[in-house]
Amino acid sequence: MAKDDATIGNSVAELEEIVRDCKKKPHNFALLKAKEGVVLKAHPLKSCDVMFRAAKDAGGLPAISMTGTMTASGKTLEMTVTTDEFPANLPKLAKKHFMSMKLPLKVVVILPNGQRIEDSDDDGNVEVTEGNEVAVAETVAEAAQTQDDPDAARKAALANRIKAIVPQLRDAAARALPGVDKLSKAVQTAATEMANAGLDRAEKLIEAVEAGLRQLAGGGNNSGENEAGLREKLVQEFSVMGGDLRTLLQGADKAVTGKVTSLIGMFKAEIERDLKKSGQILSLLRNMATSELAKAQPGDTGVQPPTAPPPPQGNDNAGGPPQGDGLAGPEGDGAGDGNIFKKIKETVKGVFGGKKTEDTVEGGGGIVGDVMSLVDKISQAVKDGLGKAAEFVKDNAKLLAIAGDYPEAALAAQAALQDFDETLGGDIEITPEVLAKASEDTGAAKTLLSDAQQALEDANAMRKGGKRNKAVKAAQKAIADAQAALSKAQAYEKAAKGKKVIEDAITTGPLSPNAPKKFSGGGALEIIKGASRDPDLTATALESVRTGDHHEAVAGNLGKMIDLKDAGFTDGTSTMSEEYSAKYADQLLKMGGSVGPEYFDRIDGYMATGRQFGDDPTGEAGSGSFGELEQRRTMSVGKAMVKDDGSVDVDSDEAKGAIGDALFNPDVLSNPRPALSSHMLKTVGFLKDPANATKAGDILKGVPEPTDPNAQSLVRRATGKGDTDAVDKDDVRNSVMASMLKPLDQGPVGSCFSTAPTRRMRETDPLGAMGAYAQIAGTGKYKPPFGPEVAVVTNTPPGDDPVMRSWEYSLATSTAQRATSSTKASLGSANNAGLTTLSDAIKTKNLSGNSGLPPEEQKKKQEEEDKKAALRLTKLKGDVAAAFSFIYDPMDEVKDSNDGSSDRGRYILKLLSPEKEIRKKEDFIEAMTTVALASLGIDKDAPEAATVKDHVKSDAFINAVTQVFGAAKDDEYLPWELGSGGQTTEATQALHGATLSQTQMTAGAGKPPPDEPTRTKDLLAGFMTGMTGKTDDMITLRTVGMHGFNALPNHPSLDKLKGDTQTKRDKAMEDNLLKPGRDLRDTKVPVDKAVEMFMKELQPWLDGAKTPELKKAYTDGIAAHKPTAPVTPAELTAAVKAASKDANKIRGDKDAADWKKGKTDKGEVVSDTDFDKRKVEEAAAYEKVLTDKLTQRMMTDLGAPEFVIADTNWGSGADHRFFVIAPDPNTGDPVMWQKIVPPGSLIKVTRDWIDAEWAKID
Amino acid sequence: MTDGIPQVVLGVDDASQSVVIVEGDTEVGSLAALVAAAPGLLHPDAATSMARAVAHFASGTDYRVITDPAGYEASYRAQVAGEDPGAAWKAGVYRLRDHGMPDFAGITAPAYQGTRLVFFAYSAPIPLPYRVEVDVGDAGVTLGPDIFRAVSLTPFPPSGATPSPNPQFVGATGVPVTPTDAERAARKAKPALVVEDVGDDDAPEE
Repeated sequence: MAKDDATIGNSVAELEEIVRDCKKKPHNFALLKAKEGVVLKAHPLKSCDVMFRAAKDAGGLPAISMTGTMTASGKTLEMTVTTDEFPANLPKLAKKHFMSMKLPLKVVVILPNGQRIEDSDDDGNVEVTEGNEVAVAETVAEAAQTQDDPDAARKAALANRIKAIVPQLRDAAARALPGVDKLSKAVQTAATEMANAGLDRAEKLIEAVEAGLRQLAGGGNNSGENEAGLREKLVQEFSVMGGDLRTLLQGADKAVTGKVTSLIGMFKAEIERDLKKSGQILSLLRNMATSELAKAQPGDTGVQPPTAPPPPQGNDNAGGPPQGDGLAGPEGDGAGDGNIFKKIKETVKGVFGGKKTEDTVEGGGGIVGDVMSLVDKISQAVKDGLGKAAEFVKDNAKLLAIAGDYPEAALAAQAALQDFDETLGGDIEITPEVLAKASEDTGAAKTLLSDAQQALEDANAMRKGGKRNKAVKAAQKAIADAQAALSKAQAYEKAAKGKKVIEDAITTGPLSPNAPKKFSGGGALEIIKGASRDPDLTATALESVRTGDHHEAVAGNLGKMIDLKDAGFTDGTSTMSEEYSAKYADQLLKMGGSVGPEYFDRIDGYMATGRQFGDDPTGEAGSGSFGELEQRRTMSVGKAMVKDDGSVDVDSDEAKGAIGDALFNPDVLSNPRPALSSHMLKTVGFLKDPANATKAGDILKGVPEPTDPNAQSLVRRATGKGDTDAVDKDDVRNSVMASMLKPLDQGPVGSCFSTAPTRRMRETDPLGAMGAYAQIAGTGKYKPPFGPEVAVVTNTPPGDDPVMRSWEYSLATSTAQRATSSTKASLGSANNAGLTTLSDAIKTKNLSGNSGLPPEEQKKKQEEEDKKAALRLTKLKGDVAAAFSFIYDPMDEVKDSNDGSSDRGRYILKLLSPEKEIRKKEDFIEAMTTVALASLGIDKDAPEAATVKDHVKSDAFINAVTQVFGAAKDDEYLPWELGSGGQTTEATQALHGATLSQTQMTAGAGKPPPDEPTRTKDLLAGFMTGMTGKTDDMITLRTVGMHGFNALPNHPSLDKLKGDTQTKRDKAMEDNLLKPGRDLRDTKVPVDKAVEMFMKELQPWLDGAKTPELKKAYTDGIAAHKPTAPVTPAELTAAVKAASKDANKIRGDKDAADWKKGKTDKGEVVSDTDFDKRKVEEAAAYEKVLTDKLTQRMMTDLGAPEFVIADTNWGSGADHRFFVIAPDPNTGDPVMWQKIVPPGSLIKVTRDWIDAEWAKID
Repeated sequence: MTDGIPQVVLGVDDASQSVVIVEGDTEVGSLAALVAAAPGLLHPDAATSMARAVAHFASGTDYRVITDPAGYEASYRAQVAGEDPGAAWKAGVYRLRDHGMPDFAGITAPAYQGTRLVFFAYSAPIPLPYRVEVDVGDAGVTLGPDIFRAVSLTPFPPSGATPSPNPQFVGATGVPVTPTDAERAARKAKPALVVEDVGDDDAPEE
């Protein structure tokens, strides 16, 4: 197989190998002219595009190239080209080059229609076709130099003139000016003459063409437009001569330089006054340059790459920088800014040269050549004075606007846009209609090609003979024609899309000056280059960049993704179709944008394995739910990572292959789970550390054979085995690893109070979580570090990971036991305090008549009685403790008397015998009395029972119980109304530390609550104070009565809000949240950006409008309210509201009518009032959808500062949600949002979240 | 020997610590002191009294000793029978079916195996069974909650029900896509058509 290493040129060995391989089977090839000879790249599988780039990387010049398929036979290379339009001299150049390498090879070119073009030995026989005149002329000129041709300079000058003529001819042709055909043929003839050493004839022809062009530009009328056009052409011709003139001024004698300088001055003076005269002066200049340069020895002066001389400006340079002779280069000594441009050029050289992805810098042509030319133009515009500079700036405003951040990208964009315009036939506006038409044309061309291919297939299947031969040839011809048409259509569409992508990116998109995310210079450049190569994929990249967190990784890997796509994601054996490659690349790029750099890093290795062509490698086909799918996916990876002895190896081929399957396989990407992929890679990264791998291996090696029925049940379901299938410890290990590879979210089900602490452990102590999984799957029991052991819960939801869910649910049971115990302890303390007050009654009731006894006996009896009473009390306390238990009612609601807020879930005291729930004070008194009398052995109706009864209901007893933890109202303990709350605190204690306790950070908002911005600030202030000095990555939080989740005290976004004193924190909040919020509110969004955002919201609704009335409402609204000047965010929101108002009403009315019909059909009556109300509500709902999305877009695109305060627990393999505080761009006020990652969208939380009491458990 | 079994009463002292009152007049606060004060508790017939005392010292009233295995079984089965077999797990609701069914044959009344006391207990808020094995002859034995070891259970078939959906969940809830064979086949590039032997237009038909 031929090499495809990106080396400069070809080695003899490589060429020999190519020839040898091409004798065995056809190769796709690219043949490019190089500075010296040619570069040939060929490969049996990789596409021509890939070969083209490889050849370009190896020093080939893209402007002179041909591609197609190649075979070799003997000493003949047969190159079947993809288009008729190939540089006719290139095969000959190749032959010469091969010969120079002692490889005598004949090159035969076969056109798409089957015509064979064989090279002759006549070096002068060069075919010139339309479009390759410049290449031929340049080749001739270059060949002249390398052969020490005395006419070298003249040939170079002629080549330059042809180069200047061709774009003018194209322009004239585009405008269908009369006679342009003849002029085109004359240029072709001139190029042929040049190739055949007919320089005089060539020059005359060129002069004639130039004159003809001037005439065409004059157009027989004196309109200002034509005059301007002619002036521009003369200036262009003058510019083309720049290199020659500079050479002359640097190397010729004084007499010549004097004349040249004088002529330049004259030209500059006349260009604004007399075009005819200017043309004559130009002709003189040209002749002088040609003849003078011809006198010089080739190589002494050489012909420099063309650089632009000063555009003639007349007197416009007044007040501008020093002019010098007007011909100094961009680094010229006259310009104070010369070094800037030199630096830019150096940067460009570095970027392009270093990566070898484009032309060499000095090679001319291609992007780099254009970039260099642009640098010269900028430099010169500055030198020539403010007027010209201003004009240049105006023409290139968008590019220059980004040049500050991305100079090289700006220059590359300029070059790319020029290329696009050339393909598009001018600087056309890329409207949706243009894109639609281009897409339609490409589609039609594809259909044609497909039909032709089918025709060939049919013809090929015919019985052999003349009819078949004829049909085959006709079909081949049809294919060639269709391919040519398709190439043309695709090139046009690509240019249109590329132009749109670049313009959008630099005007309003991620590369625009105000874009919130900044790229490295290289990243920005990669996006521009991507837009030139594959605008569709680049558009995907830009959307990913806009909302995602990995913009630099996306930009940096865009080129690689395009390379892979162009190569059909080949493994060297199989290749994907062009259509699927595009789709697959898009899926991979989106996923990479969500997951991050490591995703991209692994792609190459995976594609080399060929596993991308495997079907369902993860065994997830047919999954009935996403939970099941994720279980199967992670199980396939988990198995591959665990070795037979239980040790963990994430770098084995098996593991890498399975990881790759789960990340990249096309079947897997049919159901993308970016959050799962992110978590998987994070876990793999963790286990890559040898210390972690060893500890993980120890855990897995330590799992027992699963003999416990509950463990067996969980492991069977985790591994997908049948209800009675045998399971062993390998299955346990695989199940544990599969659980480790999944993010632990509350998911569609679950319980926040146990999810919060388990997620916290999984995120901050992965090995602790692994130990829990191993315990559950291996033993069927689970004992949290600070809670009682329980037989695990096996009733887990279908499809979900049974081991992971069992951890959450089993923790809940253990927590309940633990909480029951601690609640009992509290009750015990309270009851004991109360019962102690009974001691006197217990002691004294049997001492009646004691006073009549002698003192010693009295004392002895008193002591005995005290002892008995003490024992009775001890027994009583024990009996009371045993008499009560608790039930937990998760739905029981308790109101906070302080602020009126409510909380759900609490323990309820229960008397065990007879069973009774204690929900009132009277219930408690009655139960305590009953237990006390029974313990003391007193009949409830006996006279002495009265003492006990009276005491239990006395204030002394009740106060002793209720004030056991303090006399303050907040400390009150009511056994009949136990404290409320979910079990987040207890669950956190069970898992993370028995001594952790709940502390309020921000009290509930109370009634009436403060306004939302004030409350949000208070909440954030309380949060930041509560998190001050915390080093944990997560701290469990409660919005009391609502939810348990985890704070992220060390999220990088919070760094700006931190401070060790309240004053510092207040200032940090003002500087980094409140003030930026106000600035955002007051910002004037540039009109381009405002229109883009306005249309992005409304266009989809317009496109989706099904009735003419609705369509008209949108169209009219858009026309009436589209921004025409910079607007604030609130003004933009108002514009969107106004533009959609009528349409929303139409939609609202219809929905309300549907609603009414539904009600009426059910026999219900809808009043007019309700109907009208419904209409308004429905319309408002549509408006809200629009404005919410707009707000989100403004936050993302205008760069609202976001502070991620907490992880909600909510998520799935697809995404995860965070609590974020960020300013609303409409008001500038801080607002709390849920942020969904990916894609990074924001949803405002409801008011109850910020009004709740926020507490931490640490 | 029933007559000779020391009388013990479980109590709580002024410091809220678990104590045992022996024969109505001696209060002890540890297993060693209890054995010293009432060695008769080591008699096989005293196993239940000893088990109660051990459980009391170890965890107060968190676990209750199963003295009547048949009664416990009946109670357990009754509770299971009252639970909906089709119900999903629910936060804050503690159901025996979520955990499973014990092998009741293995749950016995307190008994001695030499000096080792073996008994079963159940927890709150749900009466899951626990097994305890303590060498009461070992003066250094430590009694704490960890002596209660969960008994293995046999799971009920999962209910198959999905718990109440979390209203905040926004992940995909539909059915995953499985690519068809045709879709998979269409991913690969078609091999180029091999056209051979294209001769003259007037060649005779074979």
